[in-house]
Formats: sequence, C-alpha cells, structure tokens
Amino acid sequence: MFPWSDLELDPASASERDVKRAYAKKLKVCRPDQDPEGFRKLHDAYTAALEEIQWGSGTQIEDSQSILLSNLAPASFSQTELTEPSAPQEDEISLPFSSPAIPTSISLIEEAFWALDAALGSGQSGIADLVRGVEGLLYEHPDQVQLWGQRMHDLITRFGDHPDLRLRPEAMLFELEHGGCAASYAIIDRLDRQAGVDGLSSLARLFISNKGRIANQGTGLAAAHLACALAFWAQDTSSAVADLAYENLDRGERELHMQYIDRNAAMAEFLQLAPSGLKSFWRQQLLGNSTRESWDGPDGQLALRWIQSASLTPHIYQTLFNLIPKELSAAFKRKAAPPISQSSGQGGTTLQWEQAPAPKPSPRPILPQTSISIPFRFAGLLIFLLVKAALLVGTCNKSSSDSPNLPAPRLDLQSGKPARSPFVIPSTKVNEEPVDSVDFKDLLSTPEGRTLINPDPRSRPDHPTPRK
Amino acid sequence: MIGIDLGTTNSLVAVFEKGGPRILANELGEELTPSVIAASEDGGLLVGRAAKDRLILDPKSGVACFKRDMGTSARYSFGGKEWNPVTCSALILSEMKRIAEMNLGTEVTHVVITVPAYFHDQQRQATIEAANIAGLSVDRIINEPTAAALAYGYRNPDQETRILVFDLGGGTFDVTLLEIFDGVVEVKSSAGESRLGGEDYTDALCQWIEARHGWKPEASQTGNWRQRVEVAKRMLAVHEVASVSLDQRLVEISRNDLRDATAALTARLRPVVSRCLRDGDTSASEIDDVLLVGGASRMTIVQDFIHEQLKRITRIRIDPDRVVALGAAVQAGLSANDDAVSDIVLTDVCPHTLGVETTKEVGFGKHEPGYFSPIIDRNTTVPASRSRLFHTLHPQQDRVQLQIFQGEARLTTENKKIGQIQIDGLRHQPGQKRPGEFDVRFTYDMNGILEVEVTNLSSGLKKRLIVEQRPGSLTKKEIDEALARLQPLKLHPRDLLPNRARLERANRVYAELIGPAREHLTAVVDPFEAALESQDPTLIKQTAAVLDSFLRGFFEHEGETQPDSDPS
Repeated sequence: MFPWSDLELDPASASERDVKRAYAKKLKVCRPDQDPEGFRKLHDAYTAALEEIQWGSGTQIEDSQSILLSNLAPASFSQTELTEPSAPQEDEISLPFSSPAIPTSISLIEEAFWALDAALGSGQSGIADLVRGVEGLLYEHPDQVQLWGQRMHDLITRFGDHPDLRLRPEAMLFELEHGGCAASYAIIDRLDRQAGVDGLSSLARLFISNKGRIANQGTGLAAAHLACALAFWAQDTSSAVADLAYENLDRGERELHMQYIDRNAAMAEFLQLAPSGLKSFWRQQLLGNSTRESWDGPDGQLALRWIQSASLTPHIYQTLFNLIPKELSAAFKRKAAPPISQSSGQGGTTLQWEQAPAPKPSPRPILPQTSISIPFRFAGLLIFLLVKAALLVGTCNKSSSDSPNLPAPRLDLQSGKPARSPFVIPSTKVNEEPVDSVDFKDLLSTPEGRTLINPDPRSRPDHPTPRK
Repeated sequence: MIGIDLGTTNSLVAVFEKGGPRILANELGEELTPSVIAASEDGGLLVGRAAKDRLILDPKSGVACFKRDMGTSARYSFGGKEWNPVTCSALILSEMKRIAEMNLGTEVTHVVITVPAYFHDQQRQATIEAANIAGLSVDRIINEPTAAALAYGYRNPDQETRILVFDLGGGTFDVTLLEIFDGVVEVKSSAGESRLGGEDYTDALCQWIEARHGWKPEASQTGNWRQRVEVAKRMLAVHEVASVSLDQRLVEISRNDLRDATAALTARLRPVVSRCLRDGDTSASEIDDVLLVGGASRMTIVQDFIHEQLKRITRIRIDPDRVVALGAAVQAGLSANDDAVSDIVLTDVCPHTLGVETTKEVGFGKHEPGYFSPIIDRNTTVPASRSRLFHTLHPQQDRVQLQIFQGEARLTTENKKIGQIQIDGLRHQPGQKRPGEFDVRFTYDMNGILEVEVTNLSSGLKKRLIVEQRPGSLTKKEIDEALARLQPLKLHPRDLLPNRARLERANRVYAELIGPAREHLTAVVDPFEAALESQDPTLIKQTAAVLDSFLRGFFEHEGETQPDSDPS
C-alpha cells in the first residue's frame, strides 16, 4: 500500500524518524543522479508518509498555521541592543526562541478588547480613544499579533457600522508585517459589503506602496480578498493587488484565490447588464452575509426575474446556481447558454487556453493524471483550507463564498505518473546569435613565453560595473 | 577530480585527499584568487591578483564581478578585444586548473563547480560552457549552500540536524534550508537575490562617506578610493572603528555608520529569509544551526540581523570564504567514490517556479493572454518531472507557440522567458479522441537544466524543446574554436605570475605616493625589472625581496593586511 510498502514500514507503528531512516536507506540505492524515475517515486512516498504522520498527530494544522502566521521577529532595528551576557557566545549555545507567552501581554490585550466590546455594545462614546489604546497595544506586543487580530476581527464583524471603529493604515501594515491578517481582512470585508470603492482603492494603494514590508502569507490572503472586492466593484482585474496576493500566497492556494478573483470579475461584468441597484443585493448573496435580504423581498424578486430573462454562459451559471432557491435552479439551468460558438479560427494564433473549471464545449470529466497520492493530498489541502478558514474567520460568518464550489481536482499540482518516455537526454541546443568573442588567434606566444594582445588605444570599454 | 568555487569576488580550487578536503594555493601561497581579468599596460593579459591591482589603478583596463552577468549578453572591451562573461570565467577556470595541476602534479580534467542556488538555467549553462572552454569536463554543478552544508556535515552525516545556510557573498545573497539525517543532505527550500552582496555594501559605504563629507574622488582615483573603503568595511568586522584617508586626513567610520549607510540593503535580507522558511515549512525555532558563508557575512550587521530574526547567536566555525570550495571538494570526493568519505546522498530543489504562458477566460467570454501557469513550483525536489494539460483556444487553431517562463509573478511580463517551443497539428479533426489537447512535461535534472517535452494528445506526436533564445551563449562552432585555441595557450608561465603580481602592485602603490616616496619606490623597482630582463634567478630573488619588504611596509602603513585574506 502506497506509501508504506515503498518504504517497507508498518504504518501503525512508524514514527517520523523511522520514515526518514527508511527513506535514507532506500536513497542510497535509488540515487537521484543515477535513477531519476526511482528517486521520484521514492521521494513521493517519503513526502506522503510524512504527511500522513503529521495529519494523524494533528501537528500539521498547527504547524502550518504557525508558519502561515509567520513567526519571524519584528523588523525594527531600533531594538538592537544585545542584552544577553557574553557567556553564551563562548559556549556556542543558541538562544531558544520559543519563550512561553508572557502572561501580561495577553491579559492586557484581552482586557482592552473586553472594554471596547462593552463600550460598543452599550453605545457609549469615547470609542475612538479606546480604539487608539488597542492599536497601541498591538505596537507594544507584536508577538501577540494573532490574538489581537482575532479579537479585532470579531469586533469589526459585529460592530462594523460604528463610525469610530476604524483602524489607521499604519496599524494594518503593522499587523500584516508581523504575520497577522485577521483584522485587515475584516476591514476589507466590511468595505466590500458596504461597497466602499474609495476605501478599497486607497487600501490597494497602501498595500502596493508597502509591498516589500508586508511580504507575508497573511498579506496574500488579505490581498486576495481585496482583489476580489476590487474586481467586483471596480472591475479591476489585472491589478497590482492580485499580483501582490499571488506573490505572497502559498503555492497550493494561489490558483484557488486567482480563480476567486476571476469569478468576481466575471460576475461584475455580467451584472453590468442587470438592473441598477441590484449589484449590492448580489454582493450580499455572494458573500453570504447573514443579514442579506431573502429572495422574497422586492430586490430578490427583481433579481430572479432578471436572471430568467438574461442569457448566461456556463461560467456564470456555475457561480450562481447554488445561490438561487432550489426550486428555480432547474429552470435556471436551462437558461445557461449553449457552448461557445466556433470562431473563424485563424491558424497560428499564439494563444492557448488553460483548462477552466467551467464545463467546456465538449464536456468531459477531467481526470487528474496522477498517482494515488494526489487525491489524498488534495483532500488534505481542502481540509486544511477549510480548517484554516474557520480558524481565521472565527465562528459565525463564512469567508468569501463567492465561489461556491471549489474547482474539481484538475489542478495537476503534482503529477506522480512516470513519463511515457524514458528520462530524456538533453538535446543539442542550437543558438543562432553571433557573438563577438575574443579572437584567440591574437593571443600569441612569443619566444620568451609572454603573451601579447595588440593594444587598441581607441577602445574604451563599457565597463559593466554593478556599482550604480 | 577537483572542486572549484567560481565566486563573484574570489575563486578557489580544492581537492579531496587523505580523508578531507584541502584548498590548493598558487605560487604566491594564496588560496583566494580574485575573479578579475585585466589587460596590462604593455598589452599582456592578467588574471587574479595582478589583474585586481591593475584594475584598481585603471578601472577601464579590465573587468571584475562578471559572474553577475553570466547568462546575459553583456560585453566588455578592454585590451583591444571584446569579452563576455563566459570567456572571462573560462580564463579564471583555466587559471584554477593550472593551480591544481601545479599542486597535484597531474593533469586535471574533471571538475565539480559551484553556482549560487539562485542561478537559473541560462546562468548554469553559461558556467558549463566556460568550463568546457577552459578544457574542463563538468562532473556536477552543485549549489553553493549545498556545498557549504556538505563541508559542514560530511563527517557526521548521520546526525539529524536542520541548518540554515546564510550566504552573503560578493555579489549574491542566498538563504537555504537543509536537513541532514542518515547520510542524506536534503535541501528543503532556498531563496535569494542574485544582485545583492558585499560589493553593494562597499558601494553604499562609499556613497555615504562621500555625501557625509561632501567629497568625491578624482576619476583616476576611484579604484584606489573604493579599495580603501573596502578595507575599512572589513576592519569593522573586527574593530569598532575604522579609518579611511580622505584628502590627506583620516576620517573615522564606526559600525553604526556602516549600519546607517547600508540599512536599505539589510532590509532586503529579511523577505528572503522569510520566504525560505515559509517554503520549507519550518519556523525559526526549529533550526538547529546557522551556517555563515561568504566574506560579507563577517560583518557585524549580519550577525545582528541573524540574532534578531532567527533568535540565535552565530559563531563562525568554518571560514566563510573557503567553506564552499571545501564543499565542492567533498562532492568531488563523493563523485570519485573516494573511500574516505562515507556515502552521502544530496537532494536539491529548483529555486524558481517554471511554467508557461496561458490565456484565461476573464469576464463574459473575454480572453486575456499573459498569465503565468506554473508547472514546476519553486522548491520542488529535483530531479522533478511534472506535466500539465492544456488545449487550444479555438477548434480551428492549429498551432501553439508555447512560451516558457521562470519566476514568481502572476503575469508573464514580470517573469523571465527562458525559451519557447511550437506545436502543430492541433486543429480539431472529426473522430479524434482528444482534440486540441496537448500535454506539457517539464523535467528538471540534478544540474538544474530544464527539458521540455510536449505531446499532442490527439496525434500522439511528441516534441522536445529546442531552445530558440539564449542570450550570452556561444554557438557550438565558436566553443570548439575557443577550445582549440585555448588548449596550448600558456597564459601564465609559472615564473611570471609572482613577478607580474609584484609589478602591478608596485604600479598601484606608485600612484598612491607622491614626492620622495615615489623616488624611493622607483629605486627599488628598477633593479627588479632589470633583474627580470637578465633572467638571473638569484638576482631576481634578491631584488624581489627588497621590493617585497617595501611594499609590505606600505600596506602596513595603510592598515591593509595581505589583500586577499580577511581580518579574522
């Protein structure tokens, strides 16, 4: 049974150490430079086995989350005082990093948020000061950025309309810089629901101008959400925000998020044809806002009537169908447009089209070209994403559900299937470009054994100093 | 078999013998050979130390740091000839070959060469070409951080450790995360910047000093000035304060000044470390050890950075300038199946994401090209082979021009194109099983070279990549010609190297001095040159000794130690 049989281990009793040892032993025989095929199989077995063990012990979720919420120390050089005594240097002891959470900072933060929560709930004034205080706590205790973010996220979601409950840009950047993203995510979410296009655009500018500083995975998630919102409201698809998200997202997730962004753009364009004033309604439906209007309301009925008269591509249908009340979805399905008409194909176009998740003109199940490990891995990824989403967002609200069905496993993230042909040998690579090289003919040896190059006084070189 | 570290600033050659790696020195007893080529005043060709001195004196007479231009179509001209990075590297490699042969007494033909982990396909090809021109057959290209890990761990390869190799060299910055266990050295992830290194720190310090004192060196003195600043920078690794002479006075620079001057550069280090840890699924606390590589990692700035970001105090265990060459020799020993080194298997990763350009459906039936579809993600263990299915946009479309890119950005305009391949016969025919579909398979081998194979699924025809664009590379014909010409060439007759070096050094010093000191120097150099002419060995030796002691005195006065070793 893959992968255990490849490693000759008993799955019930194998530990991580055993897996590593078994892999190392087999590796001596199946060396990457001598047997690439065998090595690939072995390596796939090794990583699959490790994953299984990590899933079993539940450590992977926490580890991934802690990595996800990066635990590098803050970048400020103002804290450079080395206060440790010099003794460790002689003993070559490296300082332990995982110091237990200092109780004081946690309790400080919790208390401050309780106070703010109570104030918001009872409609007191002076919220702005409390918010400033809470921001200050973040600056002082950047190692508690996760906790802070969760609490802030919670408050913003529940009291989103309170005018004083806003974060300064610097605080958002600080949170992202230190590996958090929950509060920033909540801000973006709120702007999204309120159709605050100006707010979204200025956030976009803020992120982009600080992108070096906030290069973290949390930023990837926040930026992806921002890009979705912008795509929907401002129909801005090729934005730098999407690039920022792409650069910072984990490779396993970035395709997913890019698709969300595309779908939002598609929806936006589609809805341009809708009666005005419905855009907000649709947005609420897409985001799964618990306070969204039902389909029975005036907007809902208008939307339904319009849908039934509009013509849809399969792409749009896919996105919308499970938002529509069930009894109407059958009729809705019939409205989905026939396959894209044949164009007047010009041969030799340079375009090619990646498989899209929407049904193609000649629909056919798209089978992943993989070995058994992939469905497992994908399921793992799926579970992990869901868990992470739940952990991030907290209890009630669903995160951006504007892509109701996750794409079918057509993401060939890894293809373990061996190549059909034997391992390819490098083919001769021909290059046409002429090159002025040194004419070695001129490097003559004189009788004394010295070398001469005819000096050319007129040649003043293009000295390519990298020192600019 | 030997190992060569072809560095941006210095190159080294080492061999594995008697159970351990050993670096080989040239006739001057130096283990580090500056990676510099220059043309001397009388038209001769200089390599190494002599070239570096010449370059300081006349920055237009040669070239340094050409490693940064590998894989590009950069050209340099000096000495009346046109050069490119590949031919320059070839000259350095042939010099290293000569040093090895001199030490070992036998011909050397096989070599392991190191490259930065971040080097892409073209840069690696260029390195292999340079070696071929120099008459060397490349057994293996290994990444510098992996070589460092080998040097560190080859004696205890069974002990389980996770190490982070922090390599800040003259021109490049790499961070690599490795795991060593049971005789396996496994690279988990790697990240870097190919244009960030010690040289940039020196430049920043030069600019800072010039701005602070409102001063600029004269055109003829820029080389010397930069060298002085470089020395000061190195001094700051061991002293709190260093001084630099500026217009007849001495100006002090403290460690804090260096830090201020280079803060922007140090800020670029952090995202690289962060990405490496993230891709490797490891947190800072899980690292057992940090290995420093590269002369620039001696700077206290680096030590402070590592202390803050990774919460540990590092100690330099193996000389950062030499560790890569030592590791290359260990690999040479492994490749030659030397019994003294226990079997270690290396696995490495590809540092860049590789993929193709695709078109997406965007919005309502609209299509937009220019999107990057990854096929092999960065930090995938190599050798790796991945494939993906694509299909044509329209049923009538017959041909596809597949553009191959490397990089991390979402749009291909921001990634680096490394080749293209054309597939025909994709038009939909009735009765076809899989019309318009094709499978693209990327295979990335251990040396970091990419192969592309495309299969037309409806016809079953396969096509392998023929690279159509590779800037900076030579045609096979040119390579053969260069090979033929270089073989019998004796660039540096043995007895010439030390003397050449002396003369160039004397020239450089002459430019720094004025008045009576110059006359004194002349009085010492002239007899030496006369001795060279006469070719009388005793006379040469005597006059050389006098010249040497003069030069030594000069450098001690300047605070410069032996130029190629670092204060440590």
